[in-house]
Amino acid sequence: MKPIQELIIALIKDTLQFLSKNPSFFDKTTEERKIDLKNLKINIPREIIAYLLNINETVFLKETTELVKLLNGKQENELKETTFAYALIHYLTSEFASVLDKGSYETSDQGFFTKTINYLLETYSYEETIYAIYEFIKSFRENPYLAIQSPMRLHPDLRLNIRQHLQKEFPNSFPIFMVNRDLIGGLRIFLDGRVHDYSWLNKINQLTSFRT
Amino acid sequence: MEALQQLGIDVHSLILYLINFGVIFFLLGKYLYKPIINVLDKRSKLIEGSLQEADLLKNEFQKKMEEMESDKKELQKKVKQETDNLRKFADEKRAEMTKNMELEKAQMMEQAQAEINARLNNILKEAEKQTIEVIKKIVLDIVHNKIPAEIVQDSINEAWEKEQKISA
Repeated sequence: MKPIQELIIALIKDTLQFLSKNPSFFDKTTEERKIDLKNLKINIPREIIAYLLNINETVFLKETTELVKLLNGKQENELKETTFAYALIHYLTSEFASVLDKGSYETSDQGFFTKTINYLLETYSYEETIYAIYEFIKSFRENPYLAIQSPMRLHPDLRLNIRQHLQKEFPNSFPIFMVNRDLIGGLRIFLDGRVHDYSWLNKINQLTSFRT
Repeated sequence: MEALQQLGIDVHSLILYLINFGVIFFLLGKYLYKPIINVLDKRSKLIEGSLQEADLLKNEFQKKMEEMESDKKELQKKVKQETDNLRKFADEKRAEMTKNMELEKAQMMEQAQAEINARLNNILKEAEKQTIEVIKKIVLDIVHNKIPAEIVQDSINEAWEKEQKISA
């Protein structure tokens, strides 16, 4: 979970930094909060922004504390399915997943969160990061195992397409993309216990096993 | 009498002789001949009795022999009959056993043939399976590195389209 720990810590840091500069943020109305957040000079994910628009201070502090406990390895936490967790998972499975797929994060701000994202992209491999995300989500709830194997690395657009499609059946799920050259062509899709094998390897196996 | 004297025969001596003979005859007759004759009679009777007994015994023996002979013949007849029956039984049994053995032999042959056929089929299947595996390996080896990336990409897109259709 290390890459995700670093990402969430950076996100909390930037958020707290913003809140320290806006001490009366939680006393404001939703519309006023929107204005404050619009004037942000650092990049915070829109899911977190949506979360901050509606949350009150007490709940925010409690959920942040629980999240930090989780990141420090304390098993018992009350963060399961809270709005903060939900917002984080939503961010990781959509926007951040696209960043991972593209392999780059282009933005003008130089906030700690942005720097951390770029650092993660340089330091950790794609596989390490996606597994870290998968394990993080699993620590909150049962996460269906979704994996897409392909004989070559998929184009980021196709990955995004696949993620968006799978989100319909498995909301906030995180499909893992793997390269398996043995497939030769096509795809092999694992969907929460079901396997849809469209690979050429499977076709060859079917052709060669019809008499055995 | 003178003739007799010319002949040498003395009448007085003759009479003496005759009397002597008579006395001897009488004495012998009374004290020798009679006991001897009695003894001889007894002996004769004994012998006769023994002979009779022997005859009886012989007859009895004969009878017994005849009876035995007849029993023996009877027994022989029975033995022969039993032997014949036994032989007949043995022949029948032999015939039956031969028939069973033939049947069993036919069954075993059939079974063996079936087993041979099954093994042959298995061997052929195994050979076919291995041949297919080898062909598969060769095909995989050939296609693995020889297919252009565009074709692979097309196959990926096609596969994803199929999945979308199924899940829709």
